[in-house]
Amino acid sequence: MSSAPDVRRRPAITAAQFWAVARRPRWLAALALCLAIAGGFAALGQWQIQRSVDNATVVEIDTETAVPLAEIASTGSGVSDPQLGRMVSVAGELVDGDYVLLTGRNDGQGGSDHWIVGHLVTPEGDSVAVAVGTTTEDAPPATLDAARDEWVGRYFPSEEPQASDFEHGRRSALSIAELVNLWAGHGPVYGGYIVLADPVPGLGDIRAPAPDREIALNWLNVFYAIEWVLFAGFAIYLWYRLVRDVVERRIEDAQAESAQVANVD
Amino acid sequence: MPAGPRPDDVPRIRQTLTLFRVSAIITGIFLLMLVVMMVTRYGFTLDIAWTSAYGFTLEPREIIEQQGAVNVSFIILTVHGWLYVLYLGLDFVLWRLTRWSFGRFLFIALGGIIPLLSFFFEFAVPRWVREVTERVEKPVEATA
Repeated sequence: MSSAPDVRRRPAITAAQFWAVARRPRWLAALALCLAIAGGFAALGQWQIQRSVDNATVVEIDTETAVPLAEIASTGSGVSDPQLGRMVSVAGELVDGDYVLLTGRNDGQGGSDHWIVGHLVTPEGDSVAVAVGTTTEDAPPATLDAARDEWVGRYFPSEEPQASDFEHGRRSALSIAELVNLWAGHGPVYGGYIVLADPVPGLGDIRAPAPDREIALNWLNVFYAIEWVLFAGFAIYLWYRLVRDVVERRIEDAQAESAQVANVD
Repeated sequence: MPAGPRPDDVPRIRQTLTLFRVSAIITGIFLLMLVVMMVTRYGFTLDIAWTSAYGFTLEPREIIEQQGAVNVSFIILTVHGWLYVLYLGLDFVLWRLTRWSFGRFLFIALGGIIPLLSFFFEFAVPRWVREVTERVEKPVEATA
């Protein structure tokens, strides 16, 4: 066995030495392959960016222009995300004797309000719960002097009934399932309730802010896009690394040979 | 004749090998969970949900989102993705240091894609490492 040359350090190589190997058809083909892979990765990154933007724009809905309730919602089904907090309009009449008082409703200022919830019947015979305003009374009115051609307000999903303390005649949750049992009679029922934009005369305003629909860029997709860009860069680097390995091997082999020759001498 | 690692790199090879073995086990476990998750999602179109009330259940993805439950399938998918990136990184560093063939780098890379393969690498790779490190360490010991 001959004494090994200095293999502890990797040899320094010049650009000329590198390109002498890189220019070979085999390594040019490898470069083409790596560029194709990098291109594919970049395309995947582009797709992820596209998706993150698409996901963000889907969220953008005009919630502030009132649309007929029947257009966006149907009876017997709950409130889906795009319907939530939307301004809707509906025609119909409030049913006397079907008013319910809700206590402990958050007024948005750290206190609580009493709400009056009415039963609106549309010309089609459908039922929808309408929060008509706040009150200082402790009992719901039997009748309200209120008639409108069109009721405009924000549409919200029904709440869970268990929060109500119904044994003491007090309710705090606006649960459609519960209201249906209190009403004298009803047609097909909408799964959500409407908070009137303008309360019925004599009652106070209910705080119902516009839904918070900030454009949420999908960060998961953004991170995936960054990942693909890194992978694309890595594919190119891998080619460079493989070529450099070949060059280093040639230099080391040459060193080993000359060392052997020197030993023989 | 393969070049073999540079003697100065041997301690770093050992460190990387330890990390690689841990990574191989964890990635392998997540890959098996990924198989389960793929079967439920694409076989039964159900995702795995977790709720404190019912524990693990199988439900359609939309229902899980509506309920605000934890979508375990999604977590498995994402975590495996990142663990695989880490596994590939360690594979790359190991391949650089040991100066194995490029084919072996690609072979080890398959460990994050083919179920159970990473458990094989978990004990095969240390053997391959020993083969190359013994070769460089012997002449060093002889001269010392």
